[in-house]
Amino acid sequence: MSTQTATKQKTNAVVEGLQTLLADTYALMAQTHLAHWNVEGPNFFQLHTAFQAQYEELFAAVDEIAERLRALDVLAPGGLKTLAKGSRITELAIEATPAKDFVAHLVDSHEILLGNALTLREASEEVNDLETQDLVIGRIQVHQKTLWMLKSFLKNL
Amino acid sequence: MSTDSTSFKSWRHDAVRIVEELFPGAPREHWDLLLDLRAGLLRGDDWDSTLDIFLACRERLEEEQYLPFYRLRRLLTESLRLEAGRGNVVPLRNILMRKHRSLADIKRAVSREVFEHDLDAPAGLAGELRIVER
Ligand SMILES: [Fe+2]
Repeated sequence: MSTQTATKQKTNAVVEGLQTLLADTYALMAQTHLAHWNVEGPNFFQLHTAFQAQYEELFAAVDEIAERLRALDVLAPGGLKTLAKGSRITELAIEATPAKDFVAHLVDSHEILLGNALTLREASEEVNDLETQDLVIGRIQVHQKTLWMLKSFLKNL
Repeated sequence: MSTDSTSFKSWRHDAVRIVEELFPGAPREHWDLLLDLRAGLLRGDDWDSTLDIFLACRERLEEEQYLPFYRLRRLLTESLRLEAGRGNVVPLRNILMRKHRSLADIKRAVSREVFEHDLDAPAGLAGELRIVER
């Protein structure tokens, strides 16, 4: 394999990683928004407010990730169906759901996203794309922090 | 052990791993129950008994370890179903969301519900209910 081909493949890994990050972030935003609407129970006010802060942060992140793709001269994927196909994050059924199940589902969703983001961080490091790496590191920190908060909610002390 | 490696599905592997992670956070008095759950998942030949043991573990440990039990519940509802005789199948999703404490509890509740909707259903329906892998 020529050096040029190898570099191209590695750059493709960054682009694919950003596309996945965009799709995962969008899917997670939609699931968090759903949780904001449908959560019920004694913790309603607390969770309703926390979920809002989370989906608003994710909405801003989606824009940042898409525009990084544009900076790399790649078109950004968009549209609900296209983005849904690009993410492994599952969707909650629309039915009465215990508040803790919303939180647990979001934990699983953040973990799927985080796994992919860690792969993207490595891919961007390999091609010395420090700008993408910087963006991804910022995203990883946000998701790790949100995971800490969501998991803390599930603890019973 | 009758585990056939070709039919050993990955969901059971995932479930076994989750059960193994429960041990350090569980009081020792419940370890035998967790070992039984692990063995039932590995064998995969008696889902009635394995689900019953899952419910017993959940009743004792879920309050302290919600996330692993949520994950186990998801795997079980995606991979098992309740057969109610005469080709009737009841999905486990909503059933396991409720806090039944044993399979006998579930069977009583399901046969009552079936009977309410279908007055021709046989009276001894609970005896016909069984848990099978999808
Ligand atoms: Fe709102």
